[in-house]
Amino acid sequence: MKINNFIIFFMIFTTSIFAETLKDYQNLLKKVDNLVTFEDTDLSAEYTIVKRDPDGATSTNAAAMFRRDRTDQFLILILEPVVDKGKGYLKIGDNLWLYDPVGRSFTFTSARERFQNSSARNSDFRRSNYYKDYQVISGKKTSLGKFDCFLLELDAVSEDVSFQKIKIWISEDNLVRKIEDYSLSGQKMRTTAIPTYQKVGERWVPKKIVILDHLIYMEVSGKNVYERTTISIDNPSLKELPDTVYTKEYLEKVNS
Amino acid sequence: MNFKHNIIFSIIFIFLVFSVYPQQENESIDDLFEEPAEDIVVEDTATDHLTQFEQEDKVNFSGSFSATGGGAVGWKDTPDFADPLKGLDAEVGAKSLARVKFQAKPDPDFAVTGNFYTEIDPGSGDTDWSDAEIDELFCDYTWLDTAFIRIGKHTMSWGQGRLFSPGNLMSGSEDGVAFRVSFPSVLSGLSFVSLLDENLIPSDSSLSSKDVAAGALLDTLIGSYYYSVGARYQRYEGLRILNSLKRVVYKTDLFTDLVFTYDDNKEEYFFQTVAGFFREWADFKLYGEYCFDGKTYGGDDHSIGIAVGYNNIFSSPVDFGLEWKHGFMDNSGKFLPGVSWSPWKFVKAYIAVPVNYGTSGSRYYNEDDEDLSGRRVACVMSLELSASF
Repeated sequence: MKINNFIIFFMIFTTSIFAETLKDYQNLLKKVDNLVTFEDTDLSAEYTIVKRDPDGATSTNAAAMFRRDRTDQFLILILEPVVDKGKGYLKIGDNLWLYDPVGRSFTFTSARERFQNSSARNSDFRRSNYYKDYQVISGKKTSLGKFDCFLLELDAVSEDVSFQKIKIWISEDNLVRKIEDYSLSGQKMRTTAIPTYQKVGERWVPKKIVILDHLIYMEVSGKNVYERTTISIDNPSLKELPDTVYTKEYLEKVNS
Repeated sequence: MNFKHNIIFSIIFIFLVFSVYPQQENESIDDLFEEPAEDIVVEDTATDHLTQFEQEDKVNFSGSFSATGGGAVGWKDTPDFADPLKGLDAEVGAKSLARVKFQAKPDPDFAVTGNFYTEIDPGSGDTDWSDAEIDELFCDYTWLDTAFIRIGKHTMSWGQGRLFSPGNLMSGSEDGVAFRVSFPSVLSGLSFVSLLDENLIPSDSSLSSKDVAAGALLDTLIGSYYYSVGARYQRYEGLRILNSLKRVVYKTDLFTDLVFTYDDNKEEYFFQTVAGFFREWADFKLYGEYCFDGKTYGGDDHSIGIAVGYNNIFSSPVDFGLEWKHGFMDNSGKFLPGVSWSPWKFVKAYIAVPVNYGTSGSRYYNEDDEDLSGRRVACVMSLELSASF
C-alpha cells in the first residue's frame, strides 16, 4: 500500500515537474519573440542574399526590406539582379503579393515558398512568432560551439507556418542560434544558423544567417553538399515609415 | 562448421556495413558556432532606405528588340485519320518588335511613364515598320503621401480570377484614358476611377463626358479574409458590382469573385462568378478556376480552367506550361501545352501544340489561339532573338 502511494506521488510529482518545465520552455519562446520583434517602430534594412548551388555556382540578390511587426506587414523591394529590380513582395495579412513591374501586375505568391529561388522562404522575413505558432514538445540543455543552449523540439499549432516540426537552439541570451526544419513525416528540410546578431535600439536583428537546404544537394567526395544561402543584413534602421509604404499603390509608385 | 562460418561472416558483414555508413559525412554549419563573430550593438542610423527608390531621375530610357521566326503545321478542321493529309496546312513566318520605354521623375512625387512599340510582319505582307503605337502613357502624382493619382492610358486590374476574369471590371482600361485616385491607407485601399473610351459607346455616337465609366474599389482585411468590393457604372453598360474574397488555407490561395450586373437600358440583370485556387511550389505553379456566366442565355454556362507552370524541368533550361479551358455548355475547349528553352543568351525557342476542340461554331472551337491561322490542331515552333537595353 505504501509502495503504491509512493508510486502515485512520484508520478504526480514528475508529471507536474515535467509540465512545469514545458511551460517554462513555452515562456522562453515568448522571450525569444520579444527580443527580435519591433512592436513600436518600423524596421528597415539591406539584405544581401548569396546562394551557392551544390555544384559551386553562386548567384546574388540584394533587396531592401521594410517590416512593421505590430501589423505583421512587410515590403521587400529587389535591387539586384538588375533584371528583377523593382520587383516587390508585399504581405498584407496572410496574403502575399508579388509585383511584376514589367507586366504591371500583382500575382499571388505563398509565404512559405522560396524567396528569389534561394533557400530562404518568404516567411523568413515576417516577425518572429514561435510562441503562438508552436508548442514545445521537449527540451534539454546542450551546447552549440561556444554557446550554452536550450534545445527545444516544437510542433506547429498554426497552419500558417512553413514547417510543421522544428528544433531550435536558444542561447542563454534568449536568441535563436540554430533551427532545423522538418516535414510532418520527420524529414529534415533545412538547417539555419544565426551565429551573429546586431542590437539596434532595444531589439536584436540577425547580422548573418546561413541556410542549408537539405532537399537540394550533390554528393561530392562521399559528402553531401547542400544548397547554401548566406544572408547578410546591413544598415538596420528604425526610422518610422508612412503607412502608405505597405500598400500595393506604393509598389506601383516606386516602379513608375 | 559451415553454420559457424556463416554466423562469423554475417557478423563481419554487418559490422562492415555499419562501420562504413557512419563515415558518410554531410555538410554541416555547426562549425560556424565554434568561433563566431561577437554579437554587436549598432547605432540606429535612421537611414531612409526608401530614398533609393524615390529619388528624382530626370529621364530614363529603356527598351527591347525581338525578332521571331518560325513555322506551324496543322489541320484547319478536326483531322480525319483515314485521310491525314486532308486539310493539312503549313506556313512559315517572321516578325520583329521594337519597344521603347521612358520614365521621367522630375520630383519624387511626380513621374511620367511612356511605353511605345512598332513592329514589322513580312508574313502578312508588311514590309515597313508600323506606325508607333502607344502601349501606355500616364503620369503619377502623390499628394501629401495620402493619395496616389494616375492619369492617362494605363492598365487596371480588379478581381482575383486570372483564367476567367468577369471580376476585372476595369478590363480594357488601357484602350481609353483613365483617371485613378487611390487612398491606400483607407482600410487596405480605396480607389476611385473614371474611364473615357470610345469602345464603350455605340459606333454611330461621338464620345462625350456623359460616356465616362465611373467606379470605386475598396479592399480590406476581415480576419484572414482579403475582401474587395467594387462597382462600375457606364450608361451604355449599366451597373456592375464586384464582391471578391481571398484567403490562404493550408498553403493554398483560395479565391472567389461574384459579379452582379444590372443593365438599365435592357432592364435585365445577371450574375457571374469565379472560384479558384492557386498553389505554388519551388519550380511548379498550379492554377485552377471554375466560372459560371449568367450572361449567357439558358443559365447553363459553366466552365473550368487549369494552368500549370513548371520551370527548369529535370534541372534543364526548359520550362513547361499548360493551359486547359473547357466549357460544359457546348463541350468545347482549348488545350495548350508548350515548352520554352533558352539554349543561349538572348535566344529562346518555343514549341506549342494548341488544340481547339468542340463542334463547329462552339465557343472555343473557333477561338484563335497560339496558332493565329485558325488551325484546330497544330504544332507551332518559333525561335526568338531578343535583347533589352
